[in-house]
Amino acid sequence: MAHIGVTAPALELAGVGHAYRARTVLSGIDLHLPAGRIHALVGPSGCGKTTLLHLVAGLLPLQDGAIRNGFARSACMFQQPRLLPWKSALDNIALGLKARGVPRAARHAQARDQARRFGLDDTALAQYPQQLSGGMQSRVALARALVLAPDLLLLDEAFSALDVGLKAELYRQLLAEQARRPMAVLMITHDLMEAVRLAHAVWVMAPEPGRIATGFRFDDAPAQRTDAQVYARTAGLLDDATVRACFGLDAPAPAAPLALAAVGGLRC
Amino acid sequence: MIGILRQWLAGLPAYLWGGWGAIASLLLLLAGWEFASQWLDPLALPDPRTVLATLHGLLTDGNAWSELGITGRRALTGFALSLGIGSALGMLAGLSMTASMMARPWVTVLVGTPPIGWLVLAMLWFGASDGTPVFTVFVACFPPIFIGAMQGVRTLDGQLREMAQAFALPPLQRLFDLYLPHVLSYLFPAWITALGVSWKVVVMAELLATADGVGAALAVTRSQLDTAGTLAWIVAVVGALLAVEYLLLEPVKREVERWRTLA
Repeated sequence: MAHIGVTAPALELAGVGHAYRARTVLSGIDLHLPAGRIHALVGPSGCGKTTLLHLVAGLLPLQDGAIRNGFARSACMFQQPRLLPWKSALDNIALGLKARGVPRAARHAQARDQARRFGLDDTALAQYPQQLSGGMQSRVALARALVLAPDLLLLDEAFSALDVGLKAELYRQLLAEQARRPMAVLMITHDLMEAVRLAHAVWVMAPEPGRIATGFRFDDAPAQRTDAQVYARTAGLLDDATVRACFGLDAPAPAAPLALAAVGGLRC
Repeated sequence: MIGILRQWLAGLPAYLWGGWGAIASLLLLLAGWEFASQWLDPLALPDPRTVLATLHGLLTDGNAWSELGITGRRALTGFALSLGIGSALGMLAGLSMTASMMARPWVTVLVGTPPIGWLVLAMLWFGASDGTPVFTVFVACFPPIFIGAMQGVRTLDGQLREMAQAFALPPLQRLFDLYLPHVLSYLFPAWITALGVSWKVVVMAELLATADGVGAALAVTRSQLDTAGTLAWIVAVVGALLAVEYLLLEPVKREVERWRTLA
């Protein structure tokens, strides 16, 4: 595990494991996520990604290993928007602020500011979630997490059910927010391209039991990556024998052992 | 609270205007009644005008108001007890799988026992006091409210509960922002059903067990073969029920469930 200064906040996982009854779903997970970085955990369905995120979010009791969360504020976004149907979009965004005891006027003002950045106008904010389109609901869900100014953001397949245009927009919002202040992001996804587009480090998980099989580093700024770069890196990842094995794909094409390094990727 | 009241008052004219359809269909029923009464003996079915005149007489000599007041007090006391205890116990039962499994057969027993059976028991326990109708109303209203509350809690979306946990909602906020709004959408229909039950059951209980109230007045009209008087009392009771339901419960329900209808 990398050595870091004592003052820099980070999320540290050491030897984290988890079992549901007799079935081990996670074993020996080590992870180090410093402030201002985006790490992605990718893997096939059932590899324990969601369990891992739930452990970090404190939604599940920790069984094995240690999790040290040095970040003061964390927030979550789930695959489904999970908005309260009986609250207006504005009150949904302000939900976490209310939980922190922020007075009504202040939390509404903050929620409105955040919403405006997301292109949500006052009309949309006054509406109930089911009056909003799916895309609007996702924006509200992301705004609800970001308005808390989290220094650790947990994304649980947050973008996987969205169309490409909306995905691109939410990626932009996320990266813009991340450029504003050093927010660490831990995202889990089964979409390699999404991981390659957004993350500074991509950890590939293998199933049964869920463990980190390999990892890749991309040191350039995610906001600067071009589509072509993302495609090339994704292709590079998909040519990696370990990655293919994790996802249960056939052995890589023998012809071209594509040099991931040539497109900016380094094996960790 | 003031805001809700103001919204309620502001919405009232449109709400009442929206009731024209219902009023028209009620008038049609009245017309059918009048038509039938022309062919039947007045002792079997007096015409509506006679009945309304009788009701008017009862209301103007002040008698009806006090009887309606007594009946209303008993019905609403029993209903309020059911509403409080049934909602609270139902929600508690809903929190635990074991409790809901255990409670179900009990509720079936409660539903299956005829109200008249409870009434006889209540007469033995409480005699001719208010306790008899109030208890009978309570027992009759309890099952639907209990079941509504239990299902409300049991059907709460686990994903929303997880979200509330992830956003660290404190217990009180969890209750008011998450549990209650969801449970209310199950409770309101149950409360309205129970309110209707309470009025029916209270009149039955009074008929057999007490010396005053609308039920007792019905016993008198029956012994005097006064069909017009009987129908006048029935109209009064149904009118009172409609007033409570459509002027009080329905508007509150609409306000509380506005999010649902706007979808």
